[in-house]
Amino acid sequence: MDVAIVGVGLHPFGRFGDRTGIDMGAIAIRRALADAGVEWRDIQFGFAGSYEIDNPDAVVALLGLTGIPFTNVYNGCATAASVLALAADTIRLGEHDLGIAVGMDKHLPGAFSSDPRLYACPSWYGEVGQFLTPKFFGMKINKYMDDHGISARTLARVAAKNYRNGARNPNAFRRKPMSEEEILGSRMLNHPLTQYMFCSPDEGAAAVVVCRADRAHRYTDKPIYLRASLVRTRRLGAFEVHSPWLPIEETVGPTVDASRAAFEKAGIGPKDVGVIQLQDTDAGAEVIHLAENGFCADGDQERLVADGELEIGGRLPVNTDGGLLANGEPIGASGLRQVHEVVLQLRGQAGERQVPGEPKVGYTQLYGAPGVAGVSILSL
Amino acid sequence: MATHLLSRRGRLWAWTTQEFPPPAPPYAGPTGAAFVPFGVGYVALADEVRVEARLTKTTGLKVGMDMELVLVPFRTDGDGNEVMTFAFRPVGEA
Repeated sequence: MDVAIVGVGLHPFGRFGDRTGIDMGAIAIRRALADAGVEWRDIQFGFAGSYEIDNPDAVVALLGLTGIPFTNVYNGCATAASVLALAADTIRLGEHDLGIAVGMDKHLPGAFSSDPRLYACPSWYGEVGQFLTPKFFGMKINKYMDDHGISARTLARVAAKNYRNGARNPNAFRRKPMSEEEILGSRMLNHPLTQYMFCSPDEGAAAVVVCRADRAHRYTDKPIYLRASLVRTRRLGAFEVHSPWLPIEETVGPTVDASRAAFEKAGIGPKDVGVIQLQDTDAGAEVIHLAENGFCADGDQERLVADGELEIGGRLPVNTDGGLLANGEPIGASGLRQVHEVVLQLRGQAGERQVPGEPKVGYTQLYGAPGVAGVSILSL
Repeated sequence: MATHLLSRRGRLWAWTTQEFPPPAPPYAGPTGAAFVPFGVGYVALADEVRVEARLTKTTGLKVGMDMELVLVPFRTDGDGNEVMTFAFRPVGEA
């Protein structure tokens, strides 16, 4: 059974005072239902993702108690990709015909923090100040720049692009363009990454209505088919967040594994993709992920970025809605925001930030602690 | 399980700097005005394992450079005792 997306909805990303994460989730769901032209009572099952909210399925209290199976998901930074994969698999199994995938979160500002023992790390690792994600991203891009000749200017260009795209997105958190000089000159956090090369945890929600592909035309003239949606975790030897040690023998990270598996499942190659959403926890992550997902060779990013190929009008438009840099990262919602953007782009409804040339295939990727990646491939 | 003695020396495999105080807890070191930025990196010990550790410097670091293990002051506990931690510094530097 194939899967189609027949509705998408978003609660803007940013900071919203007293509004709860559950409220934002309900708003995103209502917008997705309206987009699909269905009622809440038509929904047969749901998956909900969140980090901060223990029971995001409590959103039913605001929508109607209809008795449907509704499962909560937390899977690190790949939470929203996992929500979508599980919802899609439920359709693929033939169990239900129409369901909701929703993600919502409401984080405090500042780097994420937790007890290292909850991540199977020793407590000394946190005591000495090594249990945090930004310095991992600093190390990874610093090494990558050394190995593949990427400059700090390229990182600033990527961040400036995403802020520029965010300025065209009414739902984005940061809507002010920022110059490369301002980005390079902001406070150094983890060499070579400055403050404005990093995204911030924030608030928001996103929802998607999934449907049996053979019934999608009941709801929309332009169903978007979900050709692959899957998650992979790190293998021994991959350079990953929260690793007090690593073996000498290296292997590729979970993004590479997820990407290869997704392209194989979809029967589509990177060259067919017309719009791309990548995990840009920091500007360096976008640079690395472009190669890890098969869109270029290691080191080519220096030229691709300088030539504007990642811009909305370029050959490989990346993070057309501003990505995590402009939208921030409500963990539970982030990956469904990516899907929301790709669906709008494939339908030709992305307004000011519409990719020209009618893209037919879109791609989304999430990556994060504790070494988990999620990839989705969507097509007309 | 058996104890295995690792080399005190290795080569720097990757590095960055920690220029803001990590969230506390779990971080137990000096914060606020007392915070001093430190280096962080992976050192490949004699082709046996890569370990992540504090580095004694935040500048002049280069992938591939020879590093050695040292003990450095980390914090002062409630009784005024100096608590040490391990770190790596470039071989031959003070």
